[in-house]
Amino acid sequence: MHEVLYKHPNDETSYPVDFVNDLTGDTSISSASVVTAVDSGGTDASSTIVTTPTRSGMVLTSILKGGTDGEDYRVTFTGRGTTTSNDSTRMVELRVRIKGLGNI
Amino acid sequence: MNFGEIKDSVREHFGRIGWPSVMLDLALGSARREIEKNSNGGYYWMRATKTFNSVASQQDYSITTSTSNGLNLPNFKDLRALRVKESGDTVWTDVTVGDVTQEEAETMFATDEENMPLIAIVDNTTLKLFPTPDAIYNFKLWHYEWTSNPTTNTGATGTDELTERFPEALIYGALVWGCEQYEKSYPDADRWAAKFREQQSQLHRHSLERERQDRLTWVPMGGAFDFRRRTRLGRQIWV
Repeated sequence: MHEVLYKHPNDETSYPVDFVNDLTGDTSISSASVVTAVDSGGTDASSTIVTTPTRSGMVLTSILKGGTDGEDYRVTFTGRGTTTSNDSTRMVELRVRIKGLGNI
Repeated sequence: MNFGEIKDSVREHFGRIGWPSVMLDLALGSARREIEKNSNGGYYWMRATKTFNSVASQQDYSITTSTSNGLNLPNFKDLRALRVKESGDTVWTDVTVGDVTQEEAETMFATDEENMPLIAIVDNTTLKLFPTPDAIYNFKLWHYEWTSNPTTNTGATGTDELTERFPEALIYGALVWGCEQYEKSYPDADRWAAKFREQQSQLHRHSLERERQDRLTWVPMGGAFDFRRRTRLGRQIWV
């Protein structure tokens, strides 16, 4: 089950993903770890939605930014273990809205 | 409404973050199919045309693929009309569609007869012309096509006629699907189904009104063996 986030287009939110429970044979993730984003039509939106990720141990962090009002983006965090080279992915659905939709 | 606003409206009923968007897309896809399946042929936004050329001595043309001079209309739903003219001619002639079955047509023309086609039959996904064309003819096909939901939430590709004018039909249709398939709440599904039917009735009425305005086939033919209509624009129609 992936997480759903609502954000304003101007928000630039740091989003860390910890792979410690997913890549049990590793103590760190490698530089091959990536964060990508696609819009609701499946078009790549990585350059406008996520920053180049940073790594610290088993945690992969990217800043979620920008986006078009009303659009939904699927952000995929892929962590690759340094020792095992195994991949693990987490998905975040990012819904960009200017108008407040009330409490969730 | 754009497609993103329609999605948000449906989400409100199932908890804003409780329903995966993949399921939501399936529900809205189901709603559109249900709307278009109940359209008695097709709604006005499903209208489309296609021009193509016949090939001498070729009777059958694939409608859904481009194989062997096919029409390549993968979303073809139903035929409205077919017109034919000789290459270089400027006047279209009606080709009869929907009035004659294939079984009847095969008794009306010799198996080796070749001429300008007078009758067309849709046999599953194949367009069959009777008699078989003896040359290259220009054809114009008027038909209905199945449509799909917009590919994006916003912008120019985030809306179409159905989302703009009848968004409630899509919303209620998706709620029926969601209550039945996802929440297993059948009383709720019945409630939304009633509202969905109401929207479909409105769509039927609106579409019928528009069909009446340009239903050319109510105009009589010119006479025996004359496949052209008796009227021209700007003249009085008389029966």
